[in-house]
Amino acid sequence: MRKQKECVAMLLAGGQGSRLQPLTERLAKPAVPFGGRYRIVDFTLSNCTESGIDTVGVLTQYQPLVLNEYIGNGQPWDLDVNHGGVHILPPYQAKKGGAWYKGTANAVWQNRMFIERYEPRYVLVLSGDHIYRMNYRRMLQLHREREADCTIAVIEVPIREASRFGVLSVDDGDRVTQFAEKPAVPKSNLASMGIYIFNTEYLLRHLLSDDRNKDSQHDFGKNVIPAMLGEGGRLFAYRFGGYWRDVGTLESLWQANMDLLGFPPEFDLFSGESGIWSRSEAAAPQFLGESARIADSLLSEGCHINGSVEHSVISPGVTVEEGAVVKDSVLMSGVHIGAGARVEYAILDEGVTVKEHENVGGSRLAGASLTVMGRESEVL
Amino acid sequence: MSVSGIIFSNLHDGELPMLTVKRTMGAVPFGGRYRLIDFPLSAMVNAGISNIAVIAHHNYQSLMEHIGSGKDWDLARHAGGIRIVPPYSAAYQVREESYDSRMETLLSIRGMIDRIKEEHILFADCDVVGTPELKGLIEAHRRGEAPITVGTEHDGYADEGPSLHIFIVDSAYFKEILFEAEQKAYRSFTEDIVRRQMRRGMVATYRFENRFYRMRSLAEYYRLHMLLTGKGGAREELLQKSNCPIYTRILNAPPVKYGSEARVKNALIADGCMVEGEVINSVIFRGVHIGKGCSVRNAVLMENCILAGNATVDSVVLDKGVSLGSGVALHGHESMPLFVEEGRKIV
Repeated sequence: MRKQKECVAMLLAGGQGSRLQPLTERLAKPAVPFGGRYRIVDFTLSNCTESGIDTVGVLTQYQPLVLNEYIGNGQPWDLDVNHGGVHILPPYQAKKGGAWYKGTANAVWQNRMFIERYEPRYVLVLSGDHIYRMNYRRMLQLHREREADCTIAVIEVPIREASRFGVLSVDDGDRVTQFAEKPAVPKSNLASMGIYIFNTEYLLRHLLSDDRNKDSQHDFGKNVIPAMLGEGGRLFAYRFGGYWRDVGTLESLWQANMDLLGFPPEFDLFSGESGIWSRSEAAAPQFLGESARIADSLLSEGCHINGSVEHSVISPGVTVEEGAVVKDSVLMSGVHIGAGARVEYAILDEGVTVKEHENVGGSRLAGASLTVMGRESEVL
Repeated sequence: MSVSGIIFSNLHDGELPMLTVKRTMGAVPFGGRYRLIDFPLSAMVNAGISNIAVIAHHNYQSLMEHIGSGKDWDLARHAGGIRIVPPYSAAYQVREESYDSRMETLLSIRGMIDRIKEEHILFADCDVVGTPELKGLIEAHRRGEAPITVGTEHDGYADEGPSLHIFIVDSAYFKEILFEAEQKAYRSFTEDIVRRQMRRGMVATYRFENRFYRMRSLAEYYRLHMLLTGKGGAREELLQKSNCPIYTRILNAPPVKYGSEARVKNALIADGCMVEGEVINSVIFRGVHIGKGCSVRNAVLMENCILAGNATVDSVVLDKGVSLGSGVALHGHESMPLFVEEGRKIV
């Protein structure tokens, strides 16, 4: 039984996430916990599900164990379908030898057989390390209406920050005229969100010539998109107006967590029909004890709070003992804060223990910098 | 280890009439994110039982919705797994007082029981909450000679029958008993089966280590929820026992969000809630919204209740989806909580 898919998504999840160290010491960036009970990849997978895209290849090569187990058969995202579904695609050995993924474009090229199995008309290329909610259907519709070869989702950013992104110049009809990856002097404030829709045939043809190009770094932003433009391809920008954050650095990860707080928040986990889809384990409801104080925070199931939690995001199974204070912080699952301890402006990775009356971090207002504690470490 | 599980979901509906108007006992919400059936079901799963039948009679829509395919209990299987046994058409047609409903139910599912291939059958109801280690019961039954072993809370055997309604039988022996029961038109499970078998020395007992909690009235249901918020150990024993996790239906709800004026203590709160007011000594189910200036004390608020600003509740049980307008005040008494039925809007 072979059914053609209209659109197949390829989710790039292979980056080392070196700027998120020590959080990425043992897991890939998309598997980093976010927003209490989620992992970063939940947002992209939820977008796929809600956009009706049921075939997703997840391209991994760095520390894939946690991500593999987390995604599993895709059941939490309704991606456990008989034909299609979510598939983890690591580099593999083929007849002519195998190789690590050399770049984003090469990762997709090495998995062209996965794409071809489903005979899709379109391929959606996604990054696994962004926090946003987007309906890809609308982008696809526009892609079709414009008879584009490639559509790139863009967001307006302050011009002084634009040099961190791929920057697009467009004409009046939003057709792309120029693309520069992380330019020193940006010519516009339209940043690429790393979300591309390609006509399948067009993409594969360009990936083939990119593969043959010995000088290429095999990267979509640096090589493939400029080559498409150079050849006069019909590339269009799709303007996105909602919340979107690249959480590739510790500071941006912390800030995006804080963006979930407040009424109304910058990014609302409570909006939408079905929220963000994620895998979760059976845990008791959270319990706040006799001396608990909590304000302006997100708190997950299985937590036991007897101290004070303020302006923080707390993952499942965290304990905060009596008299302890947690402020402006992100605590991942299983963190234990001993009695009378103080944690301020910090990210504490899974399983970190802070002993009684110890201090971690300092006041953000007083100019302290973000403190990050790696997994299983302990402040004595 | 070959044990098949059978759970009766509705034998005690009469004890919590207000909570079972639209649902069966097994589907009665409990402890913030659970339904009563989660307790016997999780105990069975934790003992390695993977073939379970849930016997329903009426009002079982919410039970079916809760259990779904069984995947949240790891019971979505090709071999075995969980199934809800639909209403047996002949049941409850004889309305004689002397018939007890367990006997009637067992006779009506006799065909299903006859097809059970497992060596033993373990039975449980949904009216007691506890985290028994059923492995102990199963092993004791295997070691013993008796074809029926009844779980008890205390040493010895209470004469009034299996009060916990947890018992394990040898399948072959039990099939014969049911055949005999049908032939001889037995009417009472306790009288005609349990007592008769006891006199023949066919019933052994096994004492569970854990405590069990009963809910034979709304007041008891409410009191147990208040225990869950206190220091007596009920919460730890029922919901947080590490070797006996309670599985339940998993929903995509965000973590609980607290506002800057929230004031919360001694509260058990499930995911998906928004809390901007005061919550003290209360159990709050999933998706409840508590607005600014609200005061929630000694309360049980079930799924998706919405309290607009400045609403006040004390000693209440609000069923699912109750919404209270701004400034509404409801007060019950600790021995007799005020109950508001599902979906009611009070403005």
